[in-house]
Amino acid sequence: MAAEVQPLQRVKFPTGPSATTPEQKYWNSFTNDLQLSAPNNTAITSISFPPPPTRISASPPAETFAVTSGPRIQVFSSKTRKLVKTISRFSVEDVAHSGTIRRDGRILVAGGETGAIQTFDISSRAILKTWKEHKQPVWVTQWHPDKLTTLMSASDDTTVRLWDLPSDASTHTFYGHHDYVRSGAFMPKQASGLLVSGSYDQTVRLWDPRTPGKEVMIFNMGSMVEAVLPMPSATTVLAAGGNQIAVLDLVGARTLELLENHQKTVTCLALANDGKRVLSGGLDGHVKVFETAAWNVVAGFKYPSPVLSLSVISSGAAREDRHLAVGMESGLLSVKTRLSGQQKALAKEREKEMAALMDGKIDEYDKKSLKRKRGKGWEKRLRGKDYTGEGADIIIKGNDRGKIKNLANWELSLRAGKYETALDQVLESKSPNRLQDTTTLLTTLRHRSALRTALSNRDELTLQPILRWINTTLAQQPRLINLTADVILLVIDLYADYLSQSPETQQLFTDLCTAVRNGLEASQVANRVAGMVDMLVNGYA
Amino acid sequence: MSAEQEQNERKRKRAAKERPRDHPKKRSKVQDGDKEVDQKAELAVVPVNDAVGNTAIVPVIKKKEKKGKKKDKTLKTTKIEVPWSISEAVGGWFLPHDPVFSPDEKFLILATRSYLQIYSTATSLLVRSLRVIRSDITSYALSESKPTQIYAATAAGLITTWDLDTGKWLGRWDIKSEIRGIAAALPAKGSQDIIFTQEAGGRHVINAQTLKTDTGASENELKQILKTEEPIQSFQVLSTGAIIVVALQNSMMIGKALPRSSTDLKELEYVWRTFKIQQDITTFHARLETQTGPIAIPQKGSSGINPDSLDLAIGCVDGAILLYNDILRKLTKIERKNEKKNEKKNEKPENIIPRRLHWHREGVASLKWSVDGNYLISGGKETVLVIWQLTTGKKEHLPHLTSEIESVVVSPSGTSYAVRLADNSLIVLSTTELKPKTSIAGIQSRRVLHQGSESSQSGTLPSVLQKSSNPVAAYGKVPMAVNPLNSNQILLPIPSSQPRSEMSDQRLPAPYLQTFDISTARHVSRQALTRNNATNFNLGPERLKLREPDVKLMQLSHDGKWLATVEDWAPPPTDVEHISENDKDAAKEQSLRREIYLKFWLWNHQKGVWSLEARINTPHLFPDDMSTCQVIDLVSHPTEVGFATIGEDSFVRVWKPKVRRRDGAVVRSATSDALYTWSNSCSIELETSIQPPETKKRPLSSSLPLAACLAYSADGSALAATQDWGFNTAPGLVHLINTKAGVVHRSLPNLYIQKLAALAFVGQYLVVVSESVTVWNLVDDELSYSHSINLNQSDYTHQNSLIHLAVNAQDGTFAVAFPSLQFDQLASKKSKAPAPKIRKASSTIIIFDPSRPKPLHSSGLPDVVMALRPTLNGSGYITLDSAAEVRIINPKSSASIPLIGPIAKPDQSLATAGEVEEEVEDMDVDDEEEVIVPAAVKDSEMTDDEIEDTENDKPVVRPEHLAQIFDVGPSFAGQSMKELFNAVVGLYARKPRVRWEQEVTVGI
Repeated sequence: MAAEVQPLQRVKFPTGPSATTPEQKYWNSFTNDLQLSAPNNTAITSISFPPPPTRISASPPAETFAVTSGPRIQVFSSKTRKLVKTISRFSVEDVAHSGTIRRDGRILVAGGETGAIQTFDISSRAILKTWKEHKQPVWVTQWHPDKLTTLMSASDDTTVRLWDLPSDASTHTFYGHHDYVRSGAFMPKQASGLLVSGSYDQTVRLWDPRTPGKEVMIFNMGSMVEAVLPMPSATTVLAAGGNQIAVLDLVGARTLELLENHQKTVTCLALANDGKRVLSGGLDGHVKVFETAAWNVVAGFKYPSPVLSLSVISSGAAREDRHLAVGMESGLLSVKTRLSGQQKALAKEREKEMAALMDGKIDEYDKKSLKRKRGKGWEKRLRGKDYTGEGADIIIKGNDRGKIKNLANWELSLRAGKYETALDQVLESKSPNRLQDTTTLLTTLRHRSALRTALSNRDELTLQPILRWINTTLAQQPRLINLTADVILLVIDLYADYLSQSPETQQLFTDLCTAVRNGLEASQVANRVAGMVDMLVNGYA
Repeated sequence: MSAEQEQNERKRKRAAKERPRDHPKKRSKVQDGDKEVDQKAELAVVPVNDAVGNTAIVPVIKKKEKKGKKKDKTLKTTKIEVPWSISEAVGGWFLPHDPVFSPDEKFLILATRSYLQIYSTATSLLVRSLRVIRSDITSYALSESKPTQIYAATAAGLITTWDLDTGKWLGRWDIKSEIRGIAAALPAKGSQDIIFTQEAGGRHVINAQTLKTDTGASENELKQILKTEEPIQSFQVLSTGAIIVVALQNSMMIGKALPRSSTDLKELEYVWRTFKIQQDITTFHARLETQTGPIAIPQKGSSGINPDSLDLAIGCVDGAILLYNDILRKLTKIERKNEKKNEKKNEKPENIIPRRLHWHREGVASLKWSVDGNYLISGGKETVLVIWQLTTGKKEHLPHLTSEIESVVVSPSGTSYAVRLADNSLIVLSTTELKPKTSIAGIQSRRVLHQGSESSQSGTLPSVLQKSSNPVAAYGKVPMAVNPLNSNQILLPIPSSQPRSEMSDQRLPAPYLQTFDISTARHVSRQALTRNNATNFNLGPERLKLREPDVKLMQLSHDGKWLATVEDWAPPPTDVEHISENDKDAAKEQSLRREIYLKFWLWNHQKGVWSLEARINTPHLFPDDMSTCQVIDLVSHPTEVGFATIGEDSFVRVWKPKVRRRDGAVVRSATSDALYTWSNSCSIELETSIQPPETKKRPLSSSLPLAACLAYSADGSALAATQDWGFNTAPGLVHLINTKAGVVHRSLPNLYIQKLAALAFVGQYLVVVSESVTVWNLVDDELSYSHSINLNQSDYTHQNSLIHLAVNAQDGTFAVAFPSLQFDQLASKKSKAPAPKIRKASSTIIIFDPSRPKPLHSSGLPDVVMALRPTLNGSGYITLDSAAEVRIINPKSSASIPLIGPIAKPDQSLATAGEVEEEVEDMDVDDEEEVIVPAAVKDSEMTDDEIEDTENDKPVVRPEHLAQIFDVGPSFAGQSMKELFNAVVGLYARKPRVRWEQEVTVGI
């Protein structure tokens, strides 16, 4: 049957090593860096945000995150990035650690330098509970991901404990580590409250409340464990020790990968992209993004001071990554935010409006924006719609194959066989794809034996754009040399006799000469280098 | 003398000339009993012995006797001589003849060389095919007296008639002269068809005759009604034979029957009126407008019997359409005027000014009046169907059809148009929406017509294509592939169209892929593999036809999921004229601008198309000047996905897919299938050109290999590669490449001398085909045997490129097919003549067992084999020849591909042919239900033969049972649908009662 007219296939340039991958583009879209200094420049040791609710019926997610630094915990809104609450009810010499907000956003738990664990009501900042079982500083406190009243703690007194909010004493105590326990977490998807903890005794241990007294699994690491992070699959745990990150497989009880991308000690790990990416921060001031399939680094950031804590705060119903919060030793908190597409458009519009207001062109702006709402060419579209015809007549109906959509001017000219016009139009166009369009057109003209036709019968004025295109392409696009050379040969063949008749054209031809000479020199140098490299390679072999 | 008198006079003279020649007035009917004998003879017509006679097969056995004997013994015990057979041809091109609708428009009749094919318009399925014997069909026509009867005429002069409805053969007559056209008309008073035949040969005549079947055979009459000097292009019979319109090269003749008293054919006389047209006529269509309402008959007697006006539309070679309204009356008027004026001022019929419609830019290929006469439908090379509204002069276009239009037919009721295209396909469009209702396509592969073997019907147009210097080029290999997923399907690269008017010996580029089912003889799909001009202007600015890229090589992967194609395009020499100073330069510049792509396609199940996954620009290039070089051979890895290529640069490259990963994660498409990239996994450099010892100045091109071949061993562990320069110092060097390591493991010298054609592994044997077939035993490392092939080739034809080799891994045989071409001696005598013409071409296929020097089978085929492939299920081979016909060659005992053919059984009425399928569907549904209910087990009451077949615990329903239900009478007289359904269900759902109860109790 009648074949449908397709737009012309664009010439694809060979893909070189891409400067920015989509992944990098994604992470670069975290902009709007908000930098907040902690009072007294105390190091920011922990940033946490409540995990998303696991059940739909649960209360709406708390759009807050907690930042712990020195003797206080600051609670920020993840919608506005504004400080909401500051909790500083710690004793004078006490330093707070690991302020963690419960899933519903109401209660916050924090450990302290004195070994006390305190829970606060966030809205009133009242202390709900204080446990003083740990004899040494508590560095880790975590809420159970499902159960609202269960929480864990890990302390420098080498113990890991499980707590129930209403009770006064810990429900479980796990002994086994023989050095400071500086990291720990609940394993996800485990109702029993399976725990993982990493200690300065260079081990990562897995604890199960159902088998008290002894760990269920030990991983020996080469260095002191600073951070552990269970993956959402609950079969993999990441543990950071020294400048390495180990990927531990719980099923096979072995180390899958050892990532050595940081130069200095890795201090913190965080999940992003719904568990598909892992971020790590280190004392070298770098934050690196790993993908979780093969654990390659796909993006990275550099911060001015050693990174102690980091978190990728997701928000909204889709739990999209919204903020990248990084806490540093210098007490600086950096919150970078990524806007969603809609927000971005709105922000742009707002910016434009503000700019118009500042320039005093707000009227013009309003008029424009109003017009846009109605759409372009609406009058034309309505015209003649009510016409029903004059009486009955046999009308051979038009072609109902529809219009060919989204064809550029030059493409239409090409379809109509107006090769010269098409070339003029593509050279005139200011579209961002101009280079691609021009290449496509010239290649197509070559395929249709029409290159000569398109270039011939030109006068001084219409020849100049072509010469200009040749000159720029020759200098900037060496990979198109075959096509450019063909065009040059044709132009010379056609217009060599008229060279001297116009000073401008002559100048362009002179430029062309220079461009060719430069290209020749460049290729000679390149050849020389290639020869040298060849010699080296052959010598090496 | 008036025109009429003149004509009569001419006729008398002609009759006088005729008389002494003693033309056979009564033609005898060929005996009915001949039929079967003839059909057998037809198979034997194939020049078997002739072809084999040309090629001397001389076994050259160099075997150590001991080993040879051992092998022979073992083989004799395992292998039994089985005769091989060649199947009937499948496919073929439809004749350049207007398709014929059956009167009820339910069927459409098309013809290939030797079959009349009846297709159903509702389902596009082939319902029945009727075989014509001895010669090729030239024309066919429906009978007027009995609408289900059809006449077919052959070039040998046989007219055969069948009953369409039952497929019953009714009769055959031998006219003993070449028939070009046939038409049937039922005279107003008679009951017997008058058959009009256009005959060619030494004279150009139109004869009218009655052909009686049974007893009246002796009473057949013949009457010559027209004889012309010029060749007759075509003719049309209107109004029950009262008017005949004949087209000559640039003039039209209109004959009008004189009133006659009896139905006796002897009284049939025509008055002929002729008029000339400026251009050559390509096509015409006449239409008789029956006038309604009060008519003023102008003059009694003179205007004849009917007051109807004859409208004539003529398509010219320059694209104009000339319309003559009521031409007959105008002609008679002029005649009468001339009579009156007594030759004083002779008014010529050429003075009639026609209405001129000009839209087509090239010759009009076909045009037809609509049934009501208000519209004219025309088509031509522009691939646009044009519908002219004559009252307003407006026109409607249906553009971008797949190919040039060759003929347009309006159905009897006027509700649909049948459009036959130059790519061997036909579509039936509804007139209201111009939407296709039926689409029929044959094998569209490249075909070759010998000069003079088929005369052009619609007039040749000046061809813009240049003649190629190599007449053999057109017979070049077609890279056919058999689909491993469905071994009945073949895949072929096909040209976009092959119009008859442009048939030359040039090799047309093949930018499309056709999938064709051999078993059902149905076209499956067609898709573009390269860029093409389907929706573009297909002429360049210099009015030269644009060439599309040509798919030269194609291979399927072993699992049928991947397709690799190599396409080639170079700008025409006119485009590089300005750069080059001489021809050699031009050729170089042309090859510098050559575009060669290696494309990898993945089968997309959802869409049912091949989707392009990767394109490699210039897979092979010359390292010194980085210019493109041609890929000579492409092979597929036999056990894993991967391909290997060899190019002119003497490199063998192995291509492998890789799952595409970004940042370690598998990149997936929208349908979450992994995406692949293809890359060169290893490349092996073979020896480059070794200059011949005597340093003659050779042209540049001879530093490139003339031929090169690749072959994978059966497990893919070894890759054999060889190149032939034609002047090797180390001739016949075959390299064995270890594919794991990617290095040349071993090189075997002297396996052939030159003129390499093909290379293959057959088990432990390596087969090299060049001037001889050499079988090398790799395990024993010795020559097994060698046969020489003699091609009667001349110097400038490279016929070795036409030799095919295929290996069937299933039974360990291999087949060699080679052409035998007979050249015109006249052309070759002249030394300056660019190329000899091929007069006759056929080919021979020989099947070998690598362990035995004696060929298993050898047979001839009437056309040149253009592709040879093994069948994938069972032993046998599939051939595709230059007439686009597919044949299966296999041992008689094994049926690898069942040829199903037309759906109607012999003697079954066409009206019920479609219902067979419905019954089958019913059975399928019942089978499915069967699975759900507890399995039925053998019943003690079952008969023996029923038990035999009850292997999968399903009740056996024999055809007789179904026949009892369905064959009660014609469909309208039978039972109601419900009764039928219950009867069928009762048949399928009957259960052995005892067992059933047992099952139930167990369940409780």
